Amino acid sequence: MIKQLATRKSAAVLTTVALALSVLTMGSSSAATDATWNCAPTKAKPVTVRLIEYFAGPARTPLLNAYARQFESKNPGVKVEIISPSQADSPAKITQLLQAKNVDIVEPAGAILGQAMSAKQIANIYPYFSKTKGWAGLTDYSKFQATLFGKNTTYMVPNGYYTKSAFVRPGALTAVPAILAKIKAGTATWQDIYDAKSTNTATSSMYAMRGARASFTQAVFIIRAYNAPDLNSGGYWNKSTKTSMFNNPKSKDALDLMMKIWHDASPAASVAWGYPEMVQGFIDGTANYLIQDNEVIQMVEDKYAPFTSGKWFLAQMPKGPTGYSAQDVSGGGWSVAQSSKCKNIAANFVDFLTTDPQASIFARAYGVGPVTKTASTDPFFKTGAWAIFDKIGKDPKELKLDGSDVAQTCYGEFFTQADKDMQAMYAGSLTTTDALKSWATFWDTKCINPYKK
Amino acid sequence: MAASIHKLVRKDGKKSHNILAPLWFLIPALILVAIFIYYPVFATANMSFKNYKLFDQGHIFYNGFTNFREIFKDLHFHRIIQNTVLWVTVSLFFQFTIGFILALYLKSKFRFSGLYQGIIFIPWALSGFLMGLVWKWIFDDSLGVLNDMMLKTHLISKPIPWLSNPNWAMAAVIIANIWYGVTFFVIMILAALQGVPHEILEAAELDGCSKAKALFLVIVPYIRPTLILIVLLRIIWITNFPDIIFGMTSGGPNEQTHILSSWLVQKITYDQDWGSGSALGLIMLGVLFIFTIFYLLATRLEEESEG
Repeated sequence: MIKQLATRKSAAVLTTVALALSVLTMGSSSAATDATWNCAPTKAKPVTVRLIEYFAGPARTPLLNAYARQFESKNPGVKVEIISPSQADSPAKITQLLQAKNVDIVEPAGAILGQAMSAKQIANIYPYFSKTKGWAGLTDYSKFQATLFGKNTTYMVPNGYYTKSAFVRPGALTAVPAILAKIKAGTATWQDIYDAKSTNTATSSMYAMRGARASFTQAVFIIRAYNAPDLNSGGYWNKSTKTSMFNNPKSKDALDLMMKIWHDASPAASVAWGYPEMVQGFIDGTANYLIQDNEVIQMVEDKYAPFTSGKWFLAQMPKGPTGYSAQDVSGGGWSVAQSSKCKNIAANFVDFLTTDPQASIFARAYGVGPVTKTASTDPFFKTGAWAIFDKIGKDPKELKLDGSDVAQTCYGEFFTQADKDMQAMYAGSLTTTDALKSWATFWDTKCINPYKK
Repeated sequence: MAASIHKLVRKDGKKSHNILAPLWFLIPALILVAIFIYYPVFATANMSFKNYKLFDQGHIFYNGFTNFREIFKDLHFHRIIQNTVLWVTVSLFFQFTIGFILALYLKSKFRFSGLYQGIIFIPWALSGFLMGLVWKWIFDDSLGVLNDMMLKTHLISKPIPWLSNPNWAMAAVIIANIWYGVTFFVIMILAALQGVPHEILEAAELDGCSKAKALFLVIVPYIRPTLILIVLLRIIWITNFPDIIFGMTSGGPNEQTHILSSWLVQKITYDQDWGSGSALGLIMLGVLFIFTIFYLLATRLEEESEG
């Protein structure tokens, strides 16, 4: 499935975009010969490897701990410690542990990868890892993602892909059959989602808005849909003008509509909703349309109803006026910290996690897109609720972005500021025009423009 | 070590106490305090003059008073100061008043008084952040038990936007904080009340003093030093208590329920701006330090004028 998402053309652009980051970290590529790559733990002289998760949760943390125990039993003298902060705290915790040089393996999702690379906090493990069984089992797209920052460099080994789709409760939308039909067919637009506000009740609204951390991603969804297909492979720049997509007048139409959806089609409480509240809001019926990642399937099945019950289904994300949508198809992965005193042991544990059956079981249990060749042919990932991702993969009008812009160093600062701007827009103290102007200036001045390298 | 200690000999020839000996005993504690209190304070002060953002570690440099200027110029600064004053004064007033009344009741022996005491003390044993999460669900606009009860009893006709409206949200976090902090006053005031000698109360009663008069003219003056101390402590603790706010609103919506300490936590953890967070920490330290001096001076002056 994921293999189809890869666009080879983008590799050249990606390499260019990431050039500055790569140059900063090139020095570490020869690290395979230093002492930190030659740890030889014994029972008498044990070694502890500390791993911190970004996406800790009940579906995966126990599994990771079980894998840690298995790895320990196969490697006498090695102890693996799994650190599992809440998802709200994990970005800060990972950053702090990297800063304190007190961790061996991190899961640098979101803005962390770029900033950690910029600070030379994660190691290039390609020379060592490319000879492992785990590497050999990765899909081509996973290898492409693993070498995102240049040939013969691996700063993050993917551990799962996150693809967004819409979770829909059809029972609540029977009053708008035409819109429901379009949602099912994958042709619904953002305007349709707004128009479905007529289904709101006193305790239930159409759209599960995100108001807390990462709220700006809501704006990015709709702005991309209004800009596509005129987007670069990273998804923040217009191909036609070679400037940030936030400069495009269409972005204002998109953001204005998003604010209307917030005011008229979303629960008031969603101003404080983060990831768990959004999911819970859908499960308890406070909201009937939720855009979230694939791992939410398991939660909805466990806490609401099985997929086969028909009480909910999955649809493609809403389209823009041009009939396109766009989303990042990247995700988390494992990185070895530059400060690790036993990089070979850390890389061995990453290899263990990446090798099947561990990787396949992890993908199925946690509900993320598989990274290995074996798992990608597993019918589980093509049937039932997962069938939607196959459909997304084959839809040329749903652009699959590679995450290269998200991996830029500037993204962390944008993330923080844009979240505050979203809150200000929700509260009515910031106009969409001013927000877009600020975001456009930010991307045009502080980030690497792939067209100007 | 003993040989190096200067010793005094009294006129009568007997060896006196070693005047430096207490210092030697204090040294371990001083070292720990220096490591865990003074070093972080100095490190914070140093960092407050730096551009120190974790997401941009390639650009860490001294930037003078920029962090302080940005804090004072921040769009939300005035609101956050207002919130902090409101948070401290309203919480303190109700915590103290309710705590005092409960302590008076608990002082008298009655059936199951021990059980009541135990129940009242429970909140103090719980995590503030955890309590914030519990109160968050109580106040939830759509599914919260509070709105549900008020709707069912027809006290309201539509749900109150407890956590999505800035003003209601501020009220909600203060209510939760009052609930959480009452226990402290109950514990402390009850202990102080139990220290009031019966003889004084009996004498007051014999002199024809009513219970209310005895309370305000005998009991309160007697436990006044304790009250002054616990009020001071609570002001400092409430100011530095972001847990409930983070559990309930994370400072939102639109940063409208932040107080200084929750804003500081946001700057450090979410914004990852350690320079600005350190500057804010230093400002808070200064404000509380000045407040403490004024408070203690004022209460001492009052005591002297009464004396």
